[in-house]
Amino acid sequence: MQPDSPSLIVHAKSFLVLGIESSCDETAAAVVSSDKTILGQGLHSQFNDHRSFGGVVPEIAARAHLDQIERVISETMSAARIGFSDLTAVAATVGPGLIGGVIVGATTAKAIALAHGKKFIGINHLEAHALTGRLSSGLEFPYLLLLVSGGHSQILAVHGVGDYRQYGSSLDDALGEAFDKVAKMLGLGIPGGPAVEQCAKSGRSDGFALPRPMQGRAGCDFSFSGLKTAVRLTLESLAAKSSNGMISQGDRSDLAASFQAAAGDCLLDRLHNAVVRFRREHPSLSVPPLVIAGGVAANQYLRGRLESFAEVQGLTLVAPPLALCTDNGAMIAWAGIERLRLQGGDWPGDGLDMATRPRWPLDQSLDS
Amino acid sequence: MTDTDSMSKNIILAIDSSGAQLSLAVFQGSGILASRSLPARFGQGELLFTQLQSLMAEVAKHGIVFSQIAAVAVTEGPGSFTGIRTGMAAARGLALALAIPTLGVSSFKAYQLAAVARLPLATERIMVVIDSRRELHYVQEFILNPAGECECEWEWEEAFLASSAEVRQRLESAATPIHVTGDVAELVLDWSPIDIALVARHAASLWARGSGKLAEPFYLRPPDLSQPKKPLREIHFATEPAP
Repeated sequence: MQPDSPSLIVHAKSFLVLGIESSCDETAAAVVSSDKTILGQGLHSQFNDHRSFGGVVPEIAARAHLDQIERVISETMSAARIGFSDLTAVAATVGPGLIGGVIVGATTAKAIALAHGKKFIGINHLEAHALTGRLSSGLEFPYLLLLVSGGHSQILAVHGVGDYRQYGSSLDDALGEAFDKVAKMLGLGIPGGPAVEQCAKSGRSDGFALPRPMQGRAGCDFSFSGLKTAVRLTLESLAAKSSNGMISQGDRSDLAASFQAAAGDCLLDRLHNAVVRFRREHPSLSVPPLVIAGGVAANQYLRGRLESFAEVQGLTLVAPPLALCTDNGAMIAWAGIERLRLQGGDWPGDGLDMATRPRWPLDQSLDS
Repeated sequence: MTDTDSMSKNIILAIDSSGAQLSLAVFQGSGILASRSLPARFGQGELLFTQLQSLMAEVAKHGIVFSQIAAVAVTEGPGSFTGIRTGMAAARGLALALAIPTLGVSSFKAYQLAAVARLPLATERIMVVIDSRRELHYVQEFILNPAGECECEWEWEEAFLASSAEVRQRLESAATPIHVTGDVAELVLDWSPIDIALVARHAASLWARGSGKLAEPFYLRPPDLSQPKKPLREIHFATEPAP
């Protein structure tokens, strides 16, 4: 051993955590170390199981998680080239999400932890998304977070592990959900986000006048339901006006582009208010970080809009790689490492009687 | 091979969370070493591991630890949807962690075992009726030999869905009296809950004979598909003109 190696001193206590995610339609696992290395990961997407239904069917998801979880964990452990006894802890999503899937992941994690005498850590899925930027970069607290996925649309101020303040959230549909529904209306199939983005590429973003719900209003809440309805009404009126009842490819692309532009305007309008508030609350930060997370962050058009916005506003934009934006096991393992660091070495982990929670807002503590 | 090695081959952990209770037992050689049974219609996931911890602490007095368990037996349903997910995930998680197999015992079989233990030997036929929380119940019939044993082990194909009226009609028209058990209150007059000790003993005997099978959740119907409340008006798009 080299006593003067600086890394040995800095990382005197290193952790190895298995993370398990099963709250929606991905069964995922990963082993992550406290030096931010992803040693191995596994993922089963249920995309094909749900495809013909145009959305995630809870009971199909619950069955599929149980079918896939052993294989996904085995593959993850093999890829990481470690055994369960090498782990510091086993972390799993315990909410929010589809409860049939959450139960499968959380129960499997508790079983592995108990059988090997390891710590169990129950993770809030949203917290994992919120902390992912710190796995993929040297990001420090505090920062502003835009979380946009199929299940959630939120703006949060992240002050530390377990210390979140929600600035705003969607009053109705999540943005990813709106993309999926619009894709369905446009006959584009799922996943809706990439399909709408692709279709919009050949369209004009000013082709149709669509509303920007909440624009100009105080606060940071979103609403996408009215925008979605406007797309449907536009489609119906186009069909009624057309001589043969058909809608042209040009109109379809224009509508996709117009929807995407409206969604982008909504995001930036709400984010603008959030940046003003965040700067007021953190006057010492000259260049506040804006972190994006969630599956919608994969949309290149929206990413482009966010990049320009960050530049104009004087923010550092932190966008984790795509595979870490969508649901994955590494973010759960990383959130587990953050919890271990925060709690210190004597912490026994969360109780094996920790309950799963279909709803669990991020700024609400476990006991409330 | 040491004595401990050969004995450990017979240690079976059994889990049931498919119905209205959470039960655990450790079986070794010829008998139950420890067991737990608590009423739990919901929240089996919260109870299961603290109960398992205390169960393992109890068998530790016999020198038994997790790594000596040979197989994890679990009731596969039918029954509570979340209860079965909890039991199956716990059994599979433990099996994965310990690199041992699971052993499936159907909940029909578990009810049949409990009934046989309490019935006179002359009983020839048992019908298990399990609540599906819908109009039709899950039903399976068992035929017993004169020794009160049921030679049939896995007969999924014989399980079926039936209404209370259909079950009653079958009971009335049967040539031999049929004893009804299970958890449908209006049909089951003499209720005997699943007995985890009997499940563990049954699984251990399957294991000893090498005739066990890996646990698979019981599904008699396809998944529940929630349909959109308001079907979207059908809109057609013109196909792209050839370039």
